[in-house]
This record gives sequence, structure tokens and C-alpha cells, in this order.
Amino acid sequence: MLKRYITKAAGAVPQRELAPEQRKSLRKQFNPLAARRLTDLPLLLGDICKDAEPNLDDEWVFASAFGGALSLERYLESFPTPSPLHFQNSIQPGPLDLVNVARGKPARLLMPVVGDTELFADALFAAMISPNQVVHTVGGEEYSPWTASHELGAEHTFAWYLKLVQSTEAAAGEITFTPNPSAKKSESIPLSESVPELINSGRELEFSQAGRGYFRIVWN
Amino acid sequence: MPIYLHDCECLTALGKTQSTWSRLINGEVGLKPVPPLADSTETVPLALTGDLDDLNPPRWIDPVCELIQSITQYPWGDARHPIVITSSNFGIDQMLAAFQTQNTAYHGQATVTKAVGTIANRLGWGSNRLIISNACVSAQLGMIQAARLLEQRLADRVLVFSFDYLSRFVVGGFHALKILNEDFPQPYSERKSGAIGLGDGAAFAVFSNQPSPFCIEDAATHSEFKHMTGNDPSGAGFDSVLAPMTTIAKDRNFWVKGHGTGTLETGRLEAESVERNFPNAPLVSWKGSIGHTLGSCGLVELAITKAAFHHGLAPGNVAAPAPHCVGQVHSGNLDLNRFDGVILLSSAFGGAHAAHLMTHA
Repeated sequence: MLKRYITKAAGAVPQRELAPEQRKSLRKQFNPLAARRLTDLPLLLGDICKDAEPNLDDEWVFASAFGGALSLERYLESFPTPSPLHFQNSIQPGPLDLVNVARGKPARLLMPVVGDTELFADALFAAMISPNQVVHTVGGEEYSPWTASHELGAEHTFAWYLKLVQSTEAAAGEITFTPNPSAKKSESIPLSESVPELINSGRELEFSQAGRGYFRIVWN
Repeated sequence: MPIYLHDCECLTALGKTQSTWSRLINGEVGLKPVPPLADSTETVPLALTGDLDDLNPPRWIDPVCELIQSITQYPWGDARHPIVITSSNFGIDQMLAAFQTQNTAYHGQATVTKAVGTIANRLGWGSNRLIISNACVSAQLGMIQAARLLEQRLADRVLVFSFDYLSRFVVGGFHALKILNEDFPQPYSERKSGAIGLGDGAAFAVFSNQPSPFCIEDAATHSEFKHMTGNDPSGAGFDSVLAPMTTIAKDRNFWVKGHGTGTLETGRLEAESVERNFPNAPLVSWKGSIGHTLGSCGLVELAITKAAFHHGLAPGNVAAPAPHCVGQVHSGNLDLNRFDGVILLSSAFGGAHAAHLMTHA
């Protein structure tokens, strides 16, 4: 069984897109030059991770199905004169790269995980098998009109953050993973967009992934 | 804990592994001048396996599935045979086509999971899959996931699979960044301006705890987060992955397969870091021929490296004449009989770096 302790957690519940006032407020957390480049997802990621206190030896796991979808859409619109800025920001894991570059905090590793209905479970799995002492596990999506209307992007904008550590100090909860190759996929695997509510409510949860094993999340 | 490399094959513009190795040994350049956009008057160096505009069905589906067919003896995707799929492109060619034509025929493989799902369905893969995408270090991160799965005894064998096929999306983007231009790449060469070339690439590698002649002894990663497309000008980012390997490599002979895309500043920083940490190790890059195969480069070049060890001869720093930014860049083919192993490097946007140390029994 693998166990990690949750020392920080934050969730920004799904909404269609950020309100102009919210966007303006979140931009104040960054210097003006960096803030101009940040679309809704990096702005939210920056906010929910503002107390992360990352260290040089930490790992980040970033879970996103569509990543910088607004940058992607703007890049698609820029043809036949492709925008270099939107190109680089659209490349996975652009949204979290933008935040971490703006804050200038180097790390051991950024492991971006992509998935669909089991994305949250996949990200937790990646975090649980990491040997690093601290794994900042973060996820989110941003609504972008064209991709969403064609079921090629997210319908909502949201983000979540779990600081997972191997020491028990200041634990607000814990996650256990029990490997079991006979495990079946459970219906209770939370979608990534339901994770902010899970975090904010402090709800306990158990679920399993086929062939991998059982996850349990409890809060102190 | 070391892990072992078993089957490993690649596909590039120079063919499959054996063909790619052989043509690199002969100094052949796979890059050709191609217009970056349909109406461009200039050209950029691309190493293609087909027509850039061959979009429906996606030109990558058949060749990548055919590449994987050689290892169907394992039940990939079941509980003990997980798959790690990596890329920086996936089906982004389809996304651009869908947007530009508004034709839903392109939707089937336009997102990451749809592209992977199509391949998985074609090959009958199980659900035990993890998708990793971190630009041009994607494949090496996939190898790190494989090592973690094996270290935790969560797998008997792990398949790491990567594919990156060029499209107007990525060619247009790098051209807009101006590092993909009319010049052909000459990794580590002293010249007035830098240039990269891009290439199609796909590869797979099977890892396990069962010994093979190829042992991955160590891995190191670092994310600078200094600049989206640049590096710390001190070279500290490269040192962060190379310096930790000097201890395990002590008193043994290594060569270095560099990232070496052809950009001036990054190439110089990488080469100088190799010089600081491994002053006696020959340094080569193959991207002057096969181009930068993006998220798949780590796995594509691993397959070529494995072939090089098999033949006792590694391609030198192809298509990049002296003078070089450091003296240890090795132009000619490299006799591997005096080497214990190789250090494999990749770098990416965000200042991400990855290194693997592989030895050959």
C-alpha cells in the first residue's frame, strides 16, 4: 500500500469562463507582462497554487485533457500567419509552465498527464508512484468556444490542487493506493471537474481502477 | 533500481531502426526543403515519412500501428503490462484540419485521448494506459514512468510508445518562432545563426526487471521554469541533470547522445555542460539528419542508440561541420567498443530537461 498525506488542498469549482472582474483580480497575482499571457486556466492554477511553496526537489503532476485550449483556439485562428506566442502557450503543459515560469520556481520534474473520464485517477496514480517527497498534484481545464462546441474541448473552466507529501506533519488528509491487479473499474471514479467540489466539501471517497488497484481519500 | 531495455524500434524519415542507423552511419541527411505552409514561397528543413497534407485518414495511424505489430506477443494494457503513451503532437494535425475545414470527419482523432483511443482500439490494447505529454521531453518522461511502475512491482513489462508526426500546426508554429527557417540545422557548429529541422518519428521500447544487455541505470530530470522557450544562461539547468550522473559514471567511459537541435544558445549551453561534467565523453546529435522528432525524440534516439551498441558503431554528429562550440563534439562515426554506456539527453519548453544513463553489457 502506498500512502501520501494531503497538506494543502484547493479547488475552483466549474464555471463557463472567468468573469471579467475575477480575471482582473487574478491577474494581480502576477507581474503585468506575465499576466498578459495568462488565459483563464493558468490564472486559476496560479490562484489555487499560490500557497504551494514549491521546492527545488518537488515534483508537479499536471492533469488536463485539453491544456491551454484558449491558446490553442487563438493559435488556430491565427493561420495563415501563425502566432508564435499562442503556439508555445498551446503546447502541453503550457498552462502550468506559464504559472511556474512567472513565479520562477524550478522543480525536479513536471509530469503532465492527459486523459478523459479517469484523468483524476490517472494523475493520482502518477503522484502515488512518484519517489519524490513532495508532489504537487494539480488539474484543470478552460472553456474555449469552438473546441467545446465540437466536443473537442472542455465545457467549463475549473482547477484543483493537492499537495501530497510523504511525511505526516500538518496533514489535512491522506490518500492511499492499494495495488490489486484484480481490481475492477468503479463507477465512483470522480471526473476531474468534480474534484474541486470533492476538495471543498472534504468528502471521503473510495474508488478503483481496472488492473491497478484501490484508492481511498480521507480528510482529518 | 536499474531497469532493462528489451525490444526497441523506431521509425523515421530514414526508415525503421536498422535503416535509420545505417543511413546515419553513411552520413545521409533525411531533411529536405519543404514549404512550411501551403502557400509559402520559402522552404524549411523537414524529414518526412510522407505528405505533410495527407490528413484523412491521418497519415500516422497505419505506420505507428504497423510499427507496434512486432511486439503483439504481450497482452498490452492488462494489469501486468501497462502502456505509457507519449507525444507532443498526438492528433493535432486533425485539430487544425477540423478548424480550417469545419469538417467533422477530422474529429475522430483530433484530441489526445481520441488519437490514443483510435490506436488502442486498432491494436486491442487494454485500459491500463497512462498518457504523458511534456513537449520534447515527453518520451523520456514515459521512460521514467516505466521505471516507477517496475520499481513498485506494478508491472512485469512496460511498453513505452511515442509518435510525433509533423503537420502545418507544428511546422507553422516553429516557423513563426523563427527557429525553423531556411537554414538546415548544424547542431553544436559555430555559426552566425541557429536553425532547427523537424522530423516525423515514432518509436517504442519495452522495459522490465528481467536482465537484458541494455540497462537503464539512472535517470535525472529538472524543470528550470526560467523562460517558456529559453534556458538559464548559466547552463545550470543542464548541469542539474548531468552533475548527478557523474558519481554513478565514475571510472567508466561514456559517450553522450545530446539533444542538439541546432539552436545556437541552447546547443552551446548543453555542450558546455557536457564539457563540465563529462569532459572526456564524445558528444553527438543526430537531429542534423533525422530532424527533431519532438516529443518522441527521446525514444526514437534510444532505438538508434540500441542499434548502435548492437553494431559497435554510433553515428557521429551528422551534417554539422567543425568548428564546434566545444572540442568534444564528435563528427565521425564512433567506435563503441571502448565505451561502457551512453547518456541520453532531451530538453523542452519551460526549461525541462531529462537524462538517462544506459549501459551495455
